[in-house]
Amino acid sequence: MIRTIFISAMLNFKSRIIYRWDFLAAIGVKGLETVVSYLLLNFLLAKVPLIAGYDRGHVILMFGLTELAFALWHCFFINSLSIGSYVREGQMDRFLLRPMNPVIQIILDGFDEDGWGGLAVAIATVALAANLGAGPTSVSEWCCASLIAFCGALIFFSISLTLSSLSLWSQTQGNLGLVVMDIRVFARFPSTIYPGWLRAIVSSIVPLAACGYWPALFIADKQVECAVWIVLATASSLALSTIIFNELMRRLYESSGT
Amino acid sequence: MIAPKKISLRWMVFADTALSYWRIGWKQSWIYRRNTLLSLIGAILALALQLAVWAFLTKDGSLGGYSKHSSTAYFTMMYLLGIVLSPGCDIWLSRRIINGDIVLDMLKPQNPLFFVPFEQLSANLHRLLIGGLPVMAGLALLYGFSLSPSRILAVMPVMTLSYVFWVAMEFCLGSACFRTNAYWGVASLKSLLLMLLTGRLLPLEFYPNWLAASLDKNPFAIAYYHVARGALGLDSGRTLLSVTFWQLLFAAAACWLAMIFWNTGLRKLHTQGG
Repeated sequence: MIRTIFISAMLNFKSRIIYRWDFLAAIGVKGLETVVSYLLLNFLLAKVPLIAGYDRGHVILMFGLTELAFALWHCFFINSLSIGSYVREGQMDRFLLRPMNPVIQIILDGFDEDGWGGLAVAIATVALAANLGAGPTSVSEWCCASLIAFCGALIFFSISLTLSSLSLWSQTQGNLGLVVMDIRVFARFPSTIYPGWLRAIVSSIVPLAACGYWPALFIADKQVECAVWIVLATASSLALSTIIFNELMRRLYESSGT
Repeated sequence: MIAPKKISLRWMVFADTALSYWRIGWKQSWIYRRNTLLSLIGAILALALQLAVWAFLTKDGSLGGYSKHSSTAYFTMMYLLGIVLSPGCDIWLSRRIINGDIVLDMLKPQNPLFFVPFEQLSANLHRLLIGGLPVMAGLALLYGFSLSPSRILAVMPVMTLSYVFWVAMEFCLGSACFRTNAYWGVASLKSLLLMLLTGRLLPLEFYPNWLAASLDKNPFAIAYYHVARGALGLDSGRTLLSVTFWQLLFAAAACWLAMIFWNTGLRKLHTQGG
């Protein structure tokens, strides 16, 4: 499995550096995008020093961890957005013929190295939060933060997989999975600012709270129960999205020309 | 006796082709209505989260000049503008270049640069009718803000010019694909510009004064920030007139640039093949 992942990653990298100008532009722009998001958050924090009782350090940590999770999703799981194209172009068949889980094959078919720029800036932001007294300081805390960010990436993957699978129903390439890019902005804020019904959604159905808010509470305030919630949210959303994908494939997929 | 002035055949052909493209866009949106519906649900979820954040931030009164009601109205307008001002000509062009189908477009007697926007515009208006306006009406009833027809009419010229600017800019970005043979790097640039310059995520009042002053008259801020404020009656008539004039200049410059990029790209295609 590790060898397959490595080979896929190398193939992706090779195919990406052929278009080197686009590749370099994408890495630079993705990094800049995270810098601009950080600046916008700072403009807001200049007017509102405390958000739901959380100071600048906490909010920047939430931002950094969300961006880290998103950048990891962008690097490793972004190909879940291609399901619509695979179905429309009849390419899904080849994933079904090989002796490996189709979801894993879809992931391996397209890593995206463009996310490196965003990943670097996100790590810098978490380090900045540590400097403000809220982020990880020791090696073990950094390892913990990395694991939690990976859980966040898996949550973003679950959301994008579920939404992209709906293209089996809508029968278009139009990508609902792109919604992940819009809603991740709101994972940067404490989920306590949302009204009850929306808080229930971001804590369970679309668990954005497990990407930024809970991880920040766990790392900065050592609230251990948050780690349990993160693991539960990751496992349940992954299981749910895989079930939805498999069910939609079983019921709606009609091979080439769906 | 004075003979009635005849409409030039060239213009009639133009109008007829534009109408055909319009119909194609409309039919496609209708055929793939499930997709339209799903993408609207996604956009509504993002809007609900945005409104919830601002409702919380403004719960103790005004923030940066925005109350709970005015921030709701502002971000709802941004949501509507996001639906209208997303022609997607860059995606269309880059796909055609990468697949090599652009050669087929060159066989047509008319330049696709002038007609594709009509197809995209009808798709945008379809989405606006299905999901944009009902959401706007619902929120207007809920929060008690209104859009007067006179204010909508006042922003129509600048909105139309913004659409032209946006289409031209997307053709400029899409034409980069003639050089790079890939598109995602350039597409990221568009989302960066949208994030920083339009005021979609954060109104310009929250930016530091020097930055807000220098970004105030950029074509992206005019397309979003000033159109939204104009429609809500937050910008004066004089400001609207001024931004309309500026947007006219920006749209003309962007169209000129798009033509240059397009022709340079085609020249490369003629020389090196697709």
